Amino acid sequence: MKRILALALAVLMLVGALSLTACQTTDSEGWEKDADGNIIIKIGGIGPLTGDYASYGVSVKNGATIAVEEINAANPIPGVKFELLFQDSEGDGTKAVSAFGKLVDDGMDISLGGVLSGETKEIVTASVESGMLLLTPTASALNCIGEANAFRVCFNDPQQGEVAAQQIKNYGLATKIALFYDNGSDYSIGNINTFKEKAAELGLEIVTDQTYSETSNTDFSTQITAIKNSGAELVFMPIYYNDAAKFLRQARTAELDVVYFGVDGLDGVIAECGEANKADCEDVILMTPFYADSEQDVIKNFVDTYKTAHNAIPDQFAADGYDAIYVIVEALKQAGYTTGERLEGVTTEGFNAALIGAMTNITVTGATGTMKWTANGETSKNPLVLQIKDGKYVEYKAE
Amino acid sequence: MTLFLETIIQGISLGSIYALIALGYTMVYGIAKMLNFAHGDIIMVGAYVIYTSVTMATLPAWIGVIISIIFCSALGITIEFLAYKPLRGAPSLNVLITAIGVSYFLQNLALLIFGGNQKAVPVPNMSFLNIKLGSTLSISGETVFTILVTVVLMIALTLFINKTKLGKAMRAVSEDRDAAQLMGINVNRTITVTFAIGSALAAFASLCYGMNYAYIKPTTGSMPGIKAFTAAVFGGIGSISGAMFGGFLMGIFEKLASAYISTQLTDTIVFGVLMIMLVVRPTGLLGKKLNEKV
Amino acid sequence: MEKKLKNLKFNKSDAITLGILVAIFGFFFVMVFTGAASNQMKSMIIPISYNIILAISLNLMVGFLGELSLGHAAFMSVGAYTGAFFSVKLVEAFPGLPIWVYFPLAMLVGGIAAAIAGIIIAIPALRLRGDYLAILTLAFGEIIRNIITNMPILGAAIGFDTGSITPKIAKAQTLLPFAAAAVLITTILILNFVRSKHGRAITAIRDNRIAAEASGINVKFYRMSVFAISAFFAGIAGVMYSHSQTLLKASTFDYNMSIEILVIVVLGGMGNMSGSVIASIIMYMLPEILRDFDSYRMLIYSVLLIGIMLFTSAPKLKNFREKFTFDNIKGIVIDRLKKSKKGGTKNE
Repeated sequence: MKRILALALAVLMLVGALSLTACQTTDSEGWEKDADGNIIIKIGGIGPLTGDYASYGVSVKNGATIAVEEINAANPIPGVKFELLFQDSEGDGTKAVSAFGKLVDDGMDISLGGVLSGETKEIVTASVESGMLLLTPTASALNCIGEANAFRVCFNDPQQGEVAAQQIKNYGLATKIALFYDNGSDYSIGNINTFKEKAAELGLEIVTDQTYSETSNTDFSTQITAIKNSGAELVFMPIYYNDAAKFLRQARTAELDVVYFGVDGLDGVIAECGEANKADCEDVILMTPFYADSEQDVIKNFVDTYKTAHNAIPDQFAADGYDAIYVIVEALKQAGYTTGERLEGVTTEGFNAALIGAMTNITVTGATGTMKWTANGETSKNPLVLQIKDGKYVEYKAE
Repeated sequence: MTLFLETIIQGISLGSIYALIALGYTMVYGIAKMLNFAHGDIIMVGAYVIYTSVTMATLPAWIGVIISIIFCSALGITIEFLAYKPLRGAPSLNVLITAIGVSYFLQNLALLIFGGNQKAVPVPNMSFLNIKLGSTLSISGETVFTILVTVVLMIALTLFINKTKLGKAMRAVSEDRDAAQLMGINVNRTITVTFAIGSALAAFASLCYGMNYAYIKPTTGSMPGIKAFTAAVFGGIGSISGAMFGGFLMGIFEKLASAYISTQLTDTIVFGVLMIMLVVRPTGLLGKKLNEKV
Repeated sequence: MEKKLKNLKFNKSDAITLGILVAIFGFFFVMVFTGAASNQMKSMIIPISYNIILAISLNLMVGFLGELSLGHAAFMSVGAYTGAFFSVKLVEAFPGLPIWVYFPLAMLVGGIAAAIAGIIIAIPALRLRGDYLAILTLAFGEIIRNIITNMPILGAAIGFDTGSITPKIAKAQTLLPFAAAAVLITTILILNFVRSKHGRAITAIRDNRIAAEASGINVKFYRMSVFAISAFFAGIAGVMYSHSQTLLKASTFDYNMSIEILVIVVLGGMGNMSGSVIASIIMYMLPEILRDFDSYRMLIYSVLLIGIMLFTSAPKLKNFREKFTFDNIKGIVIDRLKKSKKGGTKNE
């Protein structure tokens, strides 16, 4: 048995050594070109395509793929074509770094970072050595970027928590607020911390602070009772749609009559509740920069293409992935690479520096709104306050 | 006081699920003398069977439940035949690792077939069973139904074990497998029947789980499974009434801990109690007193 | 110490184990320092190293003591967090401290913290065996995870930022010597322990506890030591993990992780150290090389786990197994050769 294993290992090492060292091409000497002589810029994405978080990774990948196809058809930079390489991370930081290594080996020029915050943090650290532009579509935790080359398309969590408190105040939704969130999730905690600060500043009263954890996310009756007894008028729930669906089901059964207010993680809750529990989502308010029923051309166009290609309605993850690719094209143009010829002879360092420099000077209007970037990689957007009415989003209007 | 009563009711509601799962654990552990780590995952499979037959094959909910019970029993027998039977007589460590393998297998198969997103289990509406206690307190129909199911199954099981020939054979196998064999009892068949019954109990648990919590995903079964095992140990593993008692106690305990101590440290408290229980009284609360070992 | 080194006890199979390790790390050194290694390969070296340490330390518990621990990831997390916390504070106090100062120190600190955790769990574990012990370790793992998630000083849910202690540039080159040293020292120490008087006592406990106790072996002492030693090395693996990541999250160290380590141990053969080494490398490299088959990976793991358990321990397959041992096959081949050709036995 042992010798068979040893033999297997030897073969594996050999195969590994060959396959892992074979592709050592870098683009410092020249660009890879297709049959027509167009320069190919390789954009590398990483995200969970399998496992518990697979739906997020798949959405981003689909959104980005559509953008790449559209851009290659429209040819905004003559002589340049784009290629999307996407690797699975299983939502694990260590695997994500391996995936990043593989993408670098495969000749990636620009990175889309990771989909989840934890993995993105590891990828950002790994990317420092190469210095390439990293633009994560969806990693929202504050600490997950923070190197000079890293930017993000989405909002960061603390920003969102702050805006949420502000919006609740602006719309006069409530003065007594209950919090309900996953105590083990960086997303929830990131939102909650700034929400609390802002709420205190605005004179909103937090009447109860209810949490749950990954291992006890089935029975929420204690929390619901506590919220009920606290006299809250609104429950702020910065959680993802899957837990939200469970919570809503139990809260509705327990007749908890409050305003349900969520943030962008709630996007997808309508599909999650499905036909059977459709009524659970009714009147829920959420803040998201993207919604599929919008009348804007850019969104309509994207949603239609996405529906044809994947037979599903795109969520916010898909929209962020879609926008990321357009942002990259805009940055390339801003950096002066308006034709393929201008890319000839550019060194890797020069290319990276020019792109990173361009990021702070562009303004892009995409499916998730109009974005500008600061040097620390953050963007600002105006999230829409939406309400679910009859299984659809409508923009919230104060009564 | 209202809060206290409300918490107790919530605890009973949660505990009834634990009790139902613990019944299956205690049956299998008592007779086959193995920790069937995959028991929680059979619940998950049962719930997916209900989901498939109702949502995809558009059958009425109660037919889905019956299919689920049959399917789970067959699954239990198959698992026993393929994975556990060949290991009879092997060290318990190896059997446990195999059971973990089975649990992993079921979870990942479900993940491949149904994907990682959770699904809503379509279950019959039980709101006609709602009980109102005064102005603020109420017990939901789902809870009433779960408690009814648990109690009925417990009584049926106790009668089965004590009155029928097969039940007596089970008790004999549980006491001393070799002696039972010498007395002409077909040990293999008895254990197979045990697995069939245990897995059918899991199907009932999946029904009640679906009623109370609505959504399932491939990993749904594992945590309730572990907590229900805790409950079975708490009540005295191998004892039918002990499993039920342990389940209710465990549910009430968990709810009291999260209402009065902390929702964040609930797991620490629950598992801490398990650790203390295992060390102080591994036979459980009712383990020795009631000689009702199945 | 010197006396101990002289008394190192190894047999042939241990020499093979060490030989494999030296070959592997020699290969890594050559690849990394000549620049021939691809980025993907570089990123795999540290995970492979800590997986080896995890696997052989769990093998000590499962293969030699014969007790199943489902809390190995918890020991790892204790080491990871303690080691990282120590290093972060040290680097904060002495900015610019080189990694060769704080990393080995952190390994020691993390290992000791994990060993203490091991002893804490060993106290109740002394009274339990088999299934109950497995559940106890599982419960312990969940408790540790739950507590870390609720400790603001360790970053709680946001995660503990270890960016200041992880090398950003030339990570593989910087960490490889430490990893190689840690793996080799761990393996030598554990092998030496297993082949010593103490190791024989432990296997005696595994094979028959009552007989062992009757022969005057202090069962409690030995079980406790195995818990402590196994946890110590899991802690060291954790420190290696935390010094190669930039964010530590408690949710990483769940019981699925413990099971993945268990799969490695079972696949390599319980009580077989070189098997553990090889299996941890294969199990880490295989999904990396076969990235396309990833969705079936866990399913294949589970089937492998069941299949190997059935093959190695089903009583009915005993005769079948014996037919296919290496020596047996060798014997049959030799017989054939003898019959067909005189003097054909020489090439054995």
